[in-house]
Amino acid sequence: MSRSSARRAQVEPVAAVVAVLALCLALAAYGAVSEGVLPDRESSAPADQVLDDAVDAATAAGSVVVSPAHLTGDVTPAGYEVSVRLTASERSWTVGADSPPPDATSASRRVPVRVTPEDVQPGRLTVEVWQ
Amino acid sequence: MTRAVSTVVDVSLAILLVSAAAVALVTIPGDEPDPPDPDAAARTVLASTVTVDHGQDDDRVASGRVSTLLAHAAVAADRDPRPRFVAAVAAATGEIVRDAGGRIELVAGARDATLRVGPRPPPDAAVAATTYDVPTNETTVTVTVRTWSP
Repeated sequence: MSRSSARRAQVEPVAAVVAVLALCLALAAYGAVSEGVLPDRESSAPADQVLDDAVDAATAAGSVVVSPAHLTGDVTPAGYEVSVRLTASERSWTVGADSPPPDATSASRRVPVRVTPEDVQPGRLTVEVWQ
Repeated sequence: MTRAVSTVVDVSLAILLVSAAAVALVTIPGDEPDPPDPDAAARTVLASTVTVDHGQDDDRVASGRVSTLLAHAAVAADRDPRPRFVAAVAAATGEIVRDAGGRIELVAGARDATLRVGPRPPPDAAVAATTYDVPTNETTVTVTVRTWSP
């Protein structure tokens, strides 16, 4: 074995430490970026299910039109609070729990709304669900 | 010596790959958002009611659901391409489409005539559509509702 091959087996200690640190920093930066970019999957509150139930409850049997009189907050799953808001032609009706927190999960859908007995207008039904 | 140089090259390459992965993560766009539910959009617009003035005076007034008026307007357009009734229905239903939040196009087809209401979807949008058959006095009119994501 020559001298040079004995040296080849050694890694410069400072270079090795710097390399490991740099690699760790790079991986940490990648982790931070992916945390910010990838969508978070734990959308916990069942807002879509509550929206379906709220639209069904507010729709008379055999009709597709939502009537504000049938609006109910009685679609709350156990352990959650629900606020239901219906808007149509600059009017709005709200039932259910008051003052949803800013981080409440919300879902909404376009619905036809019977504003008066003869008048159906396009509107939107929004539910906010939180724990 | 060779080994130390190779360590630097190895680590530079690794960092380069990691940063390329981070850049790809940020720059490659995610999935297109799903277009909104076309059935909800169709129910919302077609079940709404409108009143249409289509005469010289106020005595010629038609009122009813958007689906019904649109079907009658399509039949009228098939008979005579430019009656006042067709223009009046198109204007009134266009207002309903705007009230419903836009991004909805209605296409009513009767025999050779096609009546379009609302904006056209942009070419790169993901479009969802649903079709209804609306019976009128003598024929059936096909009403297609198209909706798309912003």
